[in-house]
Amino acid sequence: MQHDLVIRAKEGDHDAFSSLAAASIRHLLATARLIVHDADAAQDAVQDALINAWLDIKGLRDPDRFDAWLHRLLVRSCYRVARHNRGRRAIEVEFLPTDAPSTTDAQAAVVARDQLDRAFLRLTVEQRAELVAHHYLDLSDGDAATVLDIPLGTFKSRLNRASIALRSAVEADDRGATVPQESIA
Amino acid sequence: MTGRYADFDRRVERWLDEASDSFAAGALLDAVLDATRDRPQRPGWIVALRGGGMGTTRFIAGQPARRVGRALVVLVAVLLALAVGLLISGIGRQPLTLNATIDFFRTDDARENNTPFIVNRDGTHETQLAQSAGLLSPDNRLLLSGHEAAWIRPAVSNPDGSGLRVLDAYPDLKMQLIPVAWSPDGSRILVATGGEDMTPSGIGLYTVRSTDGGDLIRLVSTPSGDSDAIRGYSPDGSMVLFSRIGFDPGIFVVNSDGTGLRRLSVPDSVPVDLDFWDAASVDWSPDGREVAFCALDASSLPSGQSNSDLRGAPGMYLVNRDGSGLHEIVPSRLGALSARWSPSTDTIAFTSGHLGLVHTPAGKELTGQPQVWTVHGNGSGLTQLTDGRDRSVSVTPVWSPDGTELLFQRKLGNSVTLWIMNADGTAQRQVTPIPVASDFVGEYGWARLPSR
Repeated sequence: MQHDLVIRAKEGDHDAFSSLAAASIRHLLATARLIVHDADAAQDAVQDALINAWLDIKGLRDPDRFDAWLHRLLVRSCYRVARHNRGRRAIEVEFLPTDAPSTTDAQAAVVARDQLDRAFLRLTVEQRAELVAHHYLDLSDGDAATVLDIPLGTFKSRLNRASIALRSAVEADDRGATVPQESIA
Repeated sequence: MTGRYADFDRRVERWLDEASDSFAAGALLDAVLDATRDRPQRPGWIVALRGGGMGTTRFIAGQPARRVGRALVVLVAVLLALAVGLLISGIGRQPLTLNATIDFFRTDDARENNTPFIVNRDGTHETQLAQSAGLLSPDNRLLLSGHEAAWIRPAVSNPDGSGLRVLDAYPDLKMQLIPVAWSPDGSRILVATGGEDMTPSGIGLYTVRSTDGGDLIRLVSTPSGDSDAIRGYSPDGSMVLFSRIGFDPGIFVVNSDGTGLRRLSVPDSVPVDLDFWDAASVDWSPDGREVAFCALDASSLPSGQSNSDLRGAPGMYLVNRDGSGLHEIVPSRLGALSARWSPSTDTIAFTSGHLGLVHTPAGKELTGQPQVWTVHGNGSGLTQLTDGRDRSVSVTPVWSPDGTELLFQRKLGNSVTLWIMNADGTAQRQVTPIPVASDFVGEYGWARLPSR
């Protein structure tokens, strides 16, 4: 189904592209928001990625690689938006209000989630992208390297460093220590 | 996810899933669809073949590269000879000289099909070619073209199309090696890379040995998300000039051995990227000591512009090849969109104007009175050569090899034709009575053709 839609979109069928965009936009938005950590910036990144997808889809060689290709466009757009927003310090740390009953376990879960949220915020945008590609998009190392436009070996080493950085940030948070906040992008 | 950190990794995954679980996207989807609905797509595959500063030829195909590739396998092997045969038989009735013939592509309204032609500079003997004629080596003994099976590789043949040799010293290398230019001494071939499924680490600019395609040397590693457009070798062959758009835009030179990468533009400077013509906004001086380029001052741009939508008023700048002496020679008030330095004088032909917001089939809208101008290298002598009195727009001038004439494209309504004028703007005459496209076209040039 997606294969056929991609073929049609490559031939200039905007309705086919609309279907592809509709099917993927929620996931793209979630991914972008995790990487850039800012709702407005995430929308900018997704809009930029999808517009570029429409403009450049004729150049997509293998329709079955559409998802990887689109994620690659998205990551580039996230980097671009993050670079553009560099220096902006007002970063959104808003996540969903929980509908769960206010039990001790639920409160603990919220605390843990906020802790990871704070720790994630301390990573660079590239580190967030590496962790998102691995843990959220669940890509193979090879596909993640492709999406991030870096060699496989580089991805593995960077993912390792990003994981260490995240754990260090969480541990620092556990200790209540003040961790210098890195530049957001 | 094994070992002591497995629990932590699972916790991260749960958190990422939860954190991503509530983003409304309806309005955003509407905005994307509104922005793309009437916007033309870019051509699917572009291979630029450049010819030593004497104009260019370009193969553009709207079909996916694999389909184009299959065609190329056949065409390059068989039709190249036919192309040259057509060329020789079609225009051989009159002797060809370097200054006498122009090559161009005629593009359909959908910008899907691009057919190569040659025409005499007086507009006579327009002849359709079966395939782009390729690039003649500096000694005129070999013709360079792109050949694709699974991946594009440089190929050379005799000028008559016989003796085709694919220069594929790296059959297992999964990346395009797209021939762009001969080195001035003919010993190397400059190649660009492309393809969305190319090995990520491979993106960059390279050279290969012209005898067998071996000795692959990487000149530039293109950063993630950036795109490099090659202008070409310096006249002495010691450096390569290119422009970069993307996250880290700028004008760069690199030594021919891959050392000494140097940015010539200031960090906030964004090179003009005319979608219909790669690296139109940058050029070497004839002696190779200086570079002219057109660029936007990114610090003055409205916030929120992405690189693909950059618009504004670019100026033209000159800089020494070592990066010193950067100064403006055409103010952004007038605007500068393309730059081509005369091969024989200290005069730069350029397109005035600005980049607008609207997208046309050719790419970005050109605004602010785009016309052909010239300026001396010291910034003096600004001269407007085309006036657009008939409401036409004239852009992207290219010098004849002897520097006495300029070839340019003129758009009037939905019709683009090629024109020639003297270097001082006099004697403007139409070369192609039949329009070449409905919107601006890619690279035409003064043909460098095999001699009989």
